[in-house]
Amino acid sequence: MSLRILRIELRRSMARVVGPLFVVAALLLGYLLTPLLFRGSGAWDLQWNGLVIQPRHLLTFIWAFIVGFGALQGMRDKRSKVGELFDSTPRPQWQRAGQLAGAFSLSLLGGYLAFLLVGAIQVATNATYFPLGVLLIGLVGAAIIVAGGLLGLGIGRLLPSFLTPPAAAMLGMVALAFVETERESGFALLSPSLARIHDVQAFHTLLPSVSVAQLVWFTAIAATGLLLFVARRRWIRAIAVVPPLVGVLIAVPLLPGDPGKALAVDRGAVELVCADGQPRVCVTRVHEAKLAELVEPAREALALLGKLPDAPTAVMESTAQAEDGVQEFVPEASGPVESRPADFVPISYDSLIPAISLNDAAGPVDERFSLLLGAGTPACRPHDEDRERELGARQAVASWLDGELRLKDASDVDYAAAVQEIESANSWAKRAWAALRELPADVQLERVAAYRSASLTCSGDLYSVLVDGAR
Amino acid sequence: MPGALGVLVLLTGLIGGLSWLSAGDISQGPGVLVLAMGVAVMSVTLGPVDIDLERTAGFAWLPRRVVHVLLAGAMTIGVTAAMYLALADAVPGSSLLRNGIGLLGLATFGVAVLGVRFGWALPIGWAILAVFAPGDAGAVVRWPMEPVDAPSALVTALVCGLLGAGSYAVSGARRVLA
Amino acid sequence: MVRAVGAAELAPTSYAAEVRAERLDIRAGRRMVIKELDLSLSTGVHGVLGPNGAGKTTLIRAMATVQRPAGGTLELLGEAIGNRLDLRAVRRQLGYLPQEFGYYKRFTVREFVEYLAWLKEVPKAGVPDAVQHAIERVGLADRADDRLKTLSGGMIRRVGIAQAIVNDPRVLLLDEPTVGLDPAQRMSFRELLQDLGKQCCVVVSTHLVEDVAAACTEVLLVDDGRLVFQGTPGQLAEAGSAEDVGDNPTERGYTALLARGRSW
Repeated sequence: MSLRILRIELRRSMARVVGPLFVVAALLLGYLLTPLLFRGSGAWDLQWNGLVIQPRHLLTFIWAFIVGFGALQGMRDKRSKVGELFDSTPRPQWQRAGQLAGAFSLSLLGGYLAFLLVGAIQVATNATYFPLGVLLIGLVGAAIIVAGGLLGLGIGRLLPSFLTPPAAAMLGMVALAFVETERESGFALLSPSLARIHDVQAFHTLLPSVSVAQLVWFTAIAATGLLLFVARRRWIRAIAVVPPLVGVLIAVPLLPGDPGKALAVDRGAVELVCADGQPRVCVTRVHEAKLAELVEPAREALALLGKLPDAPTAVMESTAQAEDGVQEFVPEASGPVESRPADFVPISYDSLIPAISLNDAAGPVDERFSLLLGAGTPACRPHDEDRERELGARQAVASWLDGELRLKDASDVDYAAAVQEIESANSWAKRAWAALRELPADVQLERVAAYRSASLTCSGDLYSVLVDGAR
Repeated sequence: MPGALGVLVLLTGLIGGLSWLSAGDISQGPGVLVLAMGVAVMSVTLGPVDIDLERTAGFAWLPRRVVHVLLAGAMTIGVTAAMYLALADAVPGSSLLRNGIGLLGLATFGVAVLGVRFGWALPIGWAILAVFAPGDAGAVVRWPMEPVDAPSALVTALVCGLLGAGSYAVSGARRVLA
Repeated sequence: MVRAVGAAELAPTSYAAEVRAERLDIRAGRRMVIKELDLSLSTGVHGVLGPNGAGKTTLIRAMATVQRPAGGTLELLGEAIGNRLDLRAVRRQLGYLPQEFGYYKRFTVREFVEYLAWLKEVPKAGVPDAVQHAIERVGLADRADDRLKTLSGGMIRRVGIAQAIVNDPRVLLLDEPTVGLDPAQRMSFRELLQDLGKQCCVVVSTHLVEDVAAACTEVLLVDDGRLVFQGTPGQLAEAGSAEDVGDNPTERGYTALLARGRSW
């Protein structure tokens, strides 16, 4: 290998465009189709796991082009008609082609790394937990991208026609779409994208076995592309069909039968980290960075909640998995979804987990007030049609504990629906607050305590429990 | 062009076959993709045989280009329609026409601006975007997948069509060295 | 421009002629293009003349190790090629300008010549000097950093010659090198040829008889796959008489020899 030649290839072949194009396309798509990168608390700008898992979705759009551009580049020798001259030179074909394949791959890798860097800068300001598994997942991403490029180069050399690049891009896309329709089997995980895996939570990681299987499979694809591109003899090109077959045989047994099961809870991520001193304030290791600013408001809130009988004595992050992520339950902190903790206030930085959400998009309020909502209990029916009634009651309870009526501010909220929800909840809160304040002081305390115990079991109409004393 | 038609038929068969195998609804995704692939493959034929010849020859190139594009479009739509007939018995004519105009416009625009070697990237890119984008990406992004009566999708298609037809008819394929 | 002299060059040559062919048969497709050709070429400039389709290009392609002989022996630098798989050592000593010279249009002149130097396994340390020297010899020093796609046809041809000589070949094969060169360029090319012919075995195929007369030390006349004549340009001229077709003695010799060959 020659560095001088590599530099020439990097400057003069399509290697000069594919890397930059990759960054631009990935960032553009990522920010244009925002749910692809910014879904869940494991979004690519929030957590290291998310940084490497979420961008896979983008490959749905980009991978076919990597193959197509590779095919275009793979045709260069035929198009330039240099075969006659180069055949008379001593250097073996594999070195010459290898040099170009190297430059092309380097360019793609550079693009991928630059893209990751943009995300990493954002993650670094937010996350402290860096599991080593991230490196493996990131490596798989690199393998997928390089495999696409090499496959393209091989196809281009095999079939040097102007029709080849669009056809190769299309074939790459069709293969991807087809593999992904295999909803029921692990085959879907052989696709470059992880399309069947959505909402990645901060606690999630890809199973190492899935990463290993994908690494094997895409290395095999890369080997095929490289063989097709580099080999001179026909029988070696014929051998190129072997690696993918071997790859599938090794990879498929490693993959879970259900593509959704490729995500697992990262044990290290859900470990609880507590602040020094009492009362206890704990968050998971992924959110360790948030602990310092949580401690003070959390202890203030606990002190205010202390007015109530059987008051909670700690604030802890809940790690119960919610909704479609229930594959695995993490017992440490909060108990099953149905039994809601009475001895501590469960919090979450993820709106899908049944706990008090501390990154609530609906109306920014301070953390102390959030922890007092519903007297330190999670909302019971946060997705119901008439949820504003309960939300209003929760605000009234929190206001009572805090000593004054506080309403959520909708001025910074963009979505019309969310604004409406906040305003409606605010008006319920005002009504409940007014009704509550008319009662004698001891009855007020009784009502709030009743609200807390009703909310802990989600029994009855919570608004009525607070306002009318219903049981 | 015959070669392009051959590849087109082959790939259409492949996509049709695969979507039939996976028992999906072909009226949406596969239809759009076949159409995009068709115009992409056809776009390769839009380059002049000899650029210098085209520049110098006192030939009425404009009508020739128009005929060429229309022919390519007709062939692509025909092949896609054939796939529908084979798999679904009914051809969604108006959406096919809208998508055909829009994607063909993208292809010709691509050829005029980027040259034959890269022109295909535009229709294929947008088609993939439309088919795989999340549902809330908006009607302009997902225009080929929208219902026929969605006005913004129709406008997008027509703008693409006009842009492509205009740029290609005026300047022809961009001169790029092989 | 001083060039490091490798050990291989100092070693005494173990062969009598750089190129030697014995009863050489070469097939192109189904047709036997070169038939039982005997040939021996050593240092000097050898012009290969002949009508279109006579087998000039096929012969040069075989010498360039691109086309495998169908029968007989072909020795380059004392090594028999034919069934040998490893031609690397021989190829390092070859320079070749094909009739249809393909090149990467985005590369600059310097980059392309350097790329070829790499392909010819020129020792790394000597590459920059060798590239510069080759470019200067073909008179392209002022365009060395221009992209190939910006060059005219004649300049491209000179790039082709530069890449062919970049490794200081022992055997230099030039197939129609003067196509696209203007008269002045052809004059300087002839000088370059004579210069090159002092150190190595140059084989030039052309159909321009006057190039041969001016620059070659030896003329080979090929017709229908056979060697019809081998001798000096003077001998070629002597072969013709006033009755033969042609504007000068060399051309008349050329047509006379061809006509004689045909009548056999």
